[in-house]
Amino acid sequence: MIVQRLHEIQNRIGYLPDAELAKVAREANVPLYRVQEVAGFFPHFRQEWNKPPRVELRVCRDMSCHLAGSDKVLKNLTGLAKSGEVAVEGVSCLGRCDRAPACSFTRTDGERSFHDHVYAGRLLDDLRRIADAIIGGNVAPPPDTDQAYTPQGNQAEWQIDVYRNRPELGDRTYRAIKDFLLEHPEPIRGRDPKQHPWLCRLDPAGLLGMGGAGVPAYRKWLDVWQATGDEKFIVCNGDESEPGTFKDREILLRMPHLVVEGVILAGLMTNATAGYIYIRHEYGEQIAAVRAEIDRAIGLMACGSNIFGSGRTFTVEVFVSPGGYICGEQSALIEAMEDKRSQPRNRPPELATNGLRDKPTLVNNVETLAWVPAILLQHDGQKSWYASQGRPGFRGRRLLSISGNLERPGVYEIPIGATLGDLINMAGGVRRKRGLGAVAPSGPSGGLIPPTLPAADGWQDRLKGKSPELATAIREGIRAGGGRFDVRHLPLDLLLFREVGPVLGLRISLMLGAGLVVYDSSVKVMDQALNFTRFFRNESCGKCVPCRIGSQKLVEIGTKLAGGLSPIEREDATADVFDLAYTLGLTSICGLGVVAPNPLTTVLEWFRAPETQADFSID
Amino acid sequence: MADVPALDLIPTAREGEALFARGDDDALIRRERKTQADFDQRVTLTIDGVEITVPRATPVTDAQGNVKFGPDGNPIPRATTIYDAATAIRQWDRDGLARRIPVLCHQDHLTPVAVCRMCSVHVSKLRKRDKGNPNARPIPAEKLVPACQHEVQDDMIVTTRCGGVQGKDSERFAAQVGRAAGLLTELLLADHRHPDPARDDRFRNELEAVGAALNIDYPRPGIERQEGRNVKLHVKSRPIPLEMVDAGNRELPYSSRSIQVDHDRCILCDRCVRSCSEVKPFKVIGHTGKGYQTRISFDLDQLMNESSCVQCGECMTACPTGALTLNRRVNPLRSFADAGELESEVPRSYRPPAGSGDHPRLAYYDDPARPLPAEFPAAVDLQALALPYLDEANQSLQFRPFSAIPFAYLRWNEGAVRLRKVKAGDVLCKQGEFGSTAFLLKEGTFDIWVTPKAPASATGLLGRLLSRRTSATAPIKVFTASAGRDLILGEMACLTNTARTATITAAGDGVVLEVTRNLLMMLQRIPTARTILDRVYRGRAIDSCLRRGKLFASLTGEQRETVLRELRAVATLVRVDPGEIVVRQGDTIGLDDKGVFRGDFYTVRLGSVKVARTAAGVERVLARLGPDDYFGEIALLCDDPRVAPLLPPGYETRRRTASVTALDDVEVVRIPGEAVRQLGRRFPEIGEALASQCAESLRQQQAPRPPRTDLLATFLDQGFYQGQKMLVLDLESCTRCDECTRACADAHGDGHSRLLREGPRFGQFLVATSCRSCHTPYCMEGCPVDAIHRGATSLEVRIDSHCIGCSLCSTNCPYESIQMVPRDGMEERRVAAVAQRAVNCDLCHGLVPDNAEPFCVSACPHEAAFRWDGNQLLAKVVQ
Repeated sequence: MIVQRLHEIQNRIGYLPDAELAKVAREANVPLYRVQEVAGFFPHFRQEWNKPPRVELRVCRDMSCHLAGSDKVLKNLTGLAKSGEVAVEGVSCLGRCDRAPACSFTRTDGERSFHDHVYAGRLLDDLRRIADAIIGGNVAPPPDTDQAYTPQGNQAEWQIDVYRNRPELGDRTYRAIKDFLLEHPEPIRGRDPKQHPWLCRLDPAGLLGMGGAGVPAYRKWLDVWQATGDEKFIVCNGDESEPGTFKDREILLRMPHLVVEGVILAGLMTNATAGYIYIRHEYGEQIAAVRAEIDRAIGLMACGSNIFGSGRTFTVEVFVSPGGYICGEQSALIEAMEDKRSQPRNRPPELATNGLRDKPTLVNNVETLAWVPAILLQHDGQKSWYASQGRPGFRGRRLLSISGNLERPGVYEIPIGATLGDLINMAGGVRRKRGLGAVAPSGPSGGLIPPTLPAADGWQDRLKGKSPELATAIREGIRAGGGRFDVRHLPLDLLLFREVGPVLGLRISLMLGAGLVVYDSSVKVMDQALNFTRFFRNESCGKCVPCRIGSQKLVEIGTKLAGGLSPIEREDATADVFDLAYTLGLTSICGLGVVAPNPLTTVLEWFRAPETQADFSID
Repeated sequence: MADVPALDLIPTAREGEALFARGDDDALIRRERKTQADFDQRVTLTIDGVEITVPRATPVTDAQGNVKFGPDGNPIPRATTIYDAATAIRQWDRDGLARRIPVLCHQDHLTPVAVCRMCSVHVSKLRKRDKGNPNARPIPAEKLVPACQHEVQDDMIVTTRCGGVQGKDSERFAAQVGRAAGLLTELLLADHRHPDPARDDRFRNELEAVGAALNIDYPRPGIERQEGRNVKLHVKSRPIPLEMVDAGNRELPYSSRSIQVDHDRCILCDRCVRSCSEVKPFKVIGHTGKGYQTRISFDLDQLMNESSCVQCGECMTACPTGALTLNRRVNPLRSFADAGELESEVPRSYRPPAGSGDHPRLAYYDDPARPLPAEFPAAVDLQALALPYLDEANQSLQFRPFSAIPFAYLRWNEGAVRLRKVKAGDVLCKQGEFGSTAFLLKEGTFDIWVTPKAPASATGLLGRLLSRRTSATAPIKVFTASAGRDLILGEMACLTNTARTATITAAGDGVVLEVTRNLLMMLQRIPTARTILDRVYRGRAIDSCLRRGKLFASLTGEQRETVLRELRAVATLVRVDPGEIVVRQGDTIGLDDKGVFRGDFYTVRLGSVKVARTAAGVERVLARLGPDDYFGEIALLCDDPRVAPLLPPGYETRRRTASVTALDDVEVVRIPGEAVRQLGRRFPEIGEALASQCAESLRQQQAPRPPRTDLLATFLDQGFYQGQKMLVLDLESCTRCDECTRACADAHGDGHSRLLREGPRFGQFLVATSCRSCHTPYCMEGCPVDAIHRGATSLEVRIDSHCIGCSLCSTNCPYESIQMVPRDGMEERRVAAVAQRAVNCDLCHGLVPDNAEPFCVSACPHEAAFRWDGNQLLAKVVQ
């Protein structure tokens, strides 16, 4: 319980006094260094030597906020910094990319204290006024809560909340749990999936993990169900810290019942013993909403002991993440839950067999679990309702966060198979009717792709044997791009997205994430790429050498590239970046090191052709 | 595009599952803790075209390379890794292996963490259906795996950077590995501040050695060295107080008196972190910070000097890049019996602040830049030292004893090796004296003399227990050792903390290198040195044990030498851990169906064993046996007409009649039973001795109510048998006036009593908590600075003033006799942990005349205090 104890101390005192840390070590019966390892790892924790000053002004520096000029805000506010009094610093993505720039202000001042007030989507002058008020000891304006802000989006069309769309099920009644337990009051044991009809409903649905890797949910659940052991755990990954991604923020806040029901279903169906909903600490409102929902579920007898009178027990609790992008890596998340530095594990073993406390553990993204009630309740014989929700040839729906230079940045639920162009149009198109400059299709992880991608000769041959959907998409894209591939025709499907690269003959494969950022034609791509690269450097856990040093070297090279180099120097730098990409890809322990070079490689690879007219300069 | 290398694939996606995550049935394999059964399971894999079969589990070893045993007495298993398998391939020598799989963060005795990724190799998996098909293409893994940590699996095909098989795939994979390993080396070099030339001579740079093996000595221009990541110092990174800093010897932030901490040279290999917790029990070093700002830290990120670090030096020994280097040298010169104290000049680099009360005598930290007197070779010369010797096959080989000892450790311990020039007749050591040094032979010839003991006369249970060493006879020259043929002398006493078993004199002019115990222990961490020393040690241990064995006491000198020659060939030395069973009651013995005799005979060489028989579920302790005692004789003679009739009903004739269990770290010499039986036939005296011993043992076993065996069990449980000078208080006359405690504190003049008038009771006596001067001094094991010794001829356990206060001796002592106390006058000034030192009863050595009783005894107004050994105590209680 070290992490949660540290949260408690910091909330009480404002920082972590050494004496308190020594006490934690004594109580947990661990050496001092073990507590230091945890307290020193997470920037959220402040130690005695590094006591927070009276006022802390933090400005998000990533992607959409960077695009919205957060560096100017930071520069401006830095003028207010005063040693020991006021600290002004950059912070990694706060998850309010639809209201860029986002800031988080804290005042530690007796009764007038407040923690992590988020001010989002305000102009510089406004932010400056707020900062002045806070520093001056005046009443701070109320924060811009997520509750009070209805994001842009197509909420009316959302299918994820089955209780809203099927009122006959009753209001958030945990009906899927009830139905499952009616049919199977006893735990289903065995190895053959045929013994587990409810688990089999997930297979034809084609629900993929929404956290990024896209592992079929059925596969993960089956693995955990098959794993032997008296204790198993379900962990819902709500760490959502990838810049540009904020869909889970909305699900957790406005539909926590789906998440809680998904976790309980996973637990009962795989015979797990406890569930944890792991939420980043910056999502205070979401944490409160989920906790309230868990209490409501317990009141309904849908959670806890003797669920709906079945005699079965499954508990769910919130684990407040100490924060950081790396916690989203599933094994690093488990390490944090075990009170260790949030550093990824070497694989194998996989978490489904050796997870939390070495027990079989299912880790699923918030959205993945939130779809489960709708899928299970609307299953009809062999036909999967969810599968039928995709565009022809595709299965399912999903939520995407999209931000950047758009008219209506927000959260959109799309049928799988809709194209990038469709999504951009849903979001009102590029702001001020400017041309499309670049798209970051997966937060910073997929780098930047230009409006059109080169299609190497022979793409028709490479299409042989591929699915008709892929063939159609490629043909239409290349027709629209006049020989190059127009990225608006990319179908927003994890699996198909990955296949596009090899057909076009790209050296770097394309990634689709849950957060997309769209840039207009005035984008300075190298400036953005360097911004992404810095994010990875800042968020690297430091465990393995390739990522720890490599991400720093990428920043150093990126800085030189953005600063302007002679053509020869640039060729050398490019070669080094690709060499780093190659090595990091092969030797990093986790995905962070693998994707860290993508911003620079994609920009160097795809934006150097004259057609893209890319601006490599830096603001 | 100019020179961008062709990319076969840049893995860009978030990774999927590991290649070897699933078994043949497509189900995920749960990784269970390895069990004993895994030692017997075999896994076959291919590394660079070489097929190798290895056990699925490998025993965990300690830093000395010794196998570690679990509470169940079995070796602790761990998963066998690709690197383990590669090490087992004989055709690759050390350099060859280092080129194929360079390692940096990995050391065999530490839990692999796989953070440096230098040992990355390519793996592919042969599908089940493709087995035996030479044209099948195995599935390659998307990413490389760390050889030091990745478990071996059947059908695994490993490719290192050298490759080995012709073929497109293999060459491509090898190129992948090579390219990645090369760039990783460049990254590490770029992040590692170039060593300060002034301190270059204090460590060996393993990172540069890895670079050299890969032909990389400098990173490419694009990723050149930067000022280290710690340029922006942590707020706490203030320099050490000036008074501790010599003008010419600027210390880096975080450094301590002994160890310089340079974060900018640290590559975060984790070796110091693991050493502090796995090799040593201190658990001080961890990490702090995240990502590129991660650094090692002490406790709650304190300065090393202010943390609970005891400065044992293990982290510095483990450091491959000089991030932790020698700051000041420990001065252990007093380890040598005849060495005077080094001039008592206080090194300028350590000036105690005025008024601190720090006594100059405690200035045992020495600037390593200051050369030592010529008789103490420098670390660099020691590493180059080569001694010729003859191996078993009479082949002349070179032994480089210090070449593989971490250079930083040698540097720290300069002064632990002394070059001694000797003349004919000079005595190196005397039989019966305690010594903690060994002698490496450089030049000359040396005679080894042993004074045999007179035959023991006492018999019976108490007789055997109470048998005392009897008066000496004339010394016999047992062999002559010469440099060039033999390597080392005096190692036995040094390694086992026991008295010298022989006297060594120089036969002519000669040169020896006298080595202290801590260095000899470190030497044993090197596999080659360990093998060579172990061979020498085992041979001599068997020899000395048989020579002194009670069984042969009746033989003449000549007979004895003949017998020794014969037994030497068949005897083996067996090491037994405390609690381990040597002989199990009920095990089958005697002639088997094929007429072969089964059942071994044992002589105790070191330590104590317990003989016990369990009947009807109740264990009865029959005897404690110590050095030179033997057991297993009933098995030998169970069919002998003199013995067979003595076997009572209920005894199965072909079974062991009792169990023998080690009480502490025990060495026994095992002789095949048949060899001893033949001996008994050839030498009737031996046969007689064995038979009468059998009869005696059996009589004891049958005694309806054996005399006070409950007492014996307590005697053994409480470890009283270990005592040679226990402080015993007769509770019938003791009035608890505490004069003994006061006298002790007063006599030692520092206010710390070395005794506590509390402890276990035995009969009417109380054994006080005070050093017992054990036969097996556990306290001496592992002292990192060799600061704990016995007097040459006296039993007291002394702790020298260069004790670093690591408290290892205090933890080791099973009887809690060693206390940790603050250093003189330093109570308030520093964190107690740093200022600690150990104190122990020294039997008032130097405070009272030789052979006089210590103050605790003489101060007792009621004559209730005694200093007894275990047998005296037992005899008193039995009376």
